[in-house]
Amino acid sequence: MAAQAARPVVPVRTVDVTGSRCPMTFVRVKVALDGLAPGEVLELVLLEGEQMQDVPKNLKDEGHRVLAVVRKGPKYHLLVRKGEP
Amino acid sequence: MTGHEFTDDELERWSRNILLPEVGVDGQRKLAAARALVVGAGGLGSPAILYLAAAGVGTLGIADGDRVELSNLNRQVLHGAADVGRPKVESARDAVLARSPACRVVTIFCRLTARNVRQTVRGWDVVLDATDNFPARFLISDACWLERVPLVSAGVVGFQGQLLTVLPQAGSPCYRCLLPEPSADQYAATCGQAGVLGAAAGVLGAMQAVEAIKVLLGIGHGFERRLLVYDALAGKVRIANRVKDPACALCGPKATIADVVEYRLTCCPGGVAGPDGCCMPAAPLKRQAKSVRRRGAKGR
Repeated sequence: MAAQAARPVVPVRTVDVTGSRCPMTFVRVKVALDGLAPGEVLELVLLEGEQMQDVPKNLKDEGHRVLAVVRKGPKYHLLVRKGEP
Repeated sequence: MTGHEFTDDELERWSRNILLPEVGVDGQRKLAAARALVVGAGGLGSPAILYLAAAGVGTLGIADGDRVELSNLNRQVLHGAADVGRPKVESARDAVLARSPACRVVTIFCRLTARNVRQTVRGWDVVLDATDNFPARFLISDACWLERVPLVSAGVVGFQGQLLTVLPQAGSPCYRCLLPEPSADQYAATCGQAGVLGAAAGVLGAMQAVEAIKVLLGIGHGFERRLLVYDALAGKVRIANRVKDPACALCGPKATIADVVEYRLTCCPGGVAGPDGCCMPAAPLKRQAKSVRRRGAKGR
């Protein structure tokens, strides 16, 4: 298991939704995840505030996993593993 | 699922569908690829057509052989005063395209008969029977069963309406399991003068759109083994179970109906000729409402 945890997580793609407003933010996240197979990872760029408050919770509710959150200036980069449908 | 790539405008237009977990991006793609035929662009068909188009159903067939009359406008909200005299299918197409320009609309300007009905319903993903008379309802339900096309059928008289779904591929009960033959009073059940509360027709037509979308997406609990009866005046909704009739002439093991049967709307005994060739029932609405209730209870 330790070897698995140490394996680097490589996102299939990066999607920046910082230009969107709720609820289009989550629509764009859903579209981005739709192109991935279960288990694949998406890098998602969100803004502090409403986006960071809502999107991670919505992702969890829909069965996806947030693997990591990294702050870069005003933006947050999330690594999201797509769940089983 | 791969397929339709949504533009930004499309994503925004259908965002409230996509946000529903039961629909999502996949479901919206299914709707974009779906083909739904609505027979009847009247009181039921008006909301059904508008909601199917608004939901993003990619191809919408509209079949109707009538022209818009002033007396239609209490319930047929697809059409306006300026449309009186136009074929309903043209008015309906214009109304759809004004709201949903990307929808592919196929207009069929003719009355369905035994000669054309099977060919007309063939190949659609779902058919909505939004007609206003029992002969048409039997014709369409027989054709859909024989062509194995899912059907969402509804009818409204006065303040009362009913709705059911038939899924031939899933072996659900058919329309004739509930109503084996049209009865004498059903022949008279539609007339130019028969009263209909427009909003009650609107409820049933919108429900037809809901059920058709559920069929297209394969989600939820439908009416393929149930009958919904809505009494707007009493403020009551009743749901009765439907079962397959082992003696059904259409879907039973000893079925005798191998092709569509056309019943003709002729004046019933004691009836009076109506303006469009149908007959006015001599003892109309109360009797019909009772008949609907009685037959609904039979399905329990």
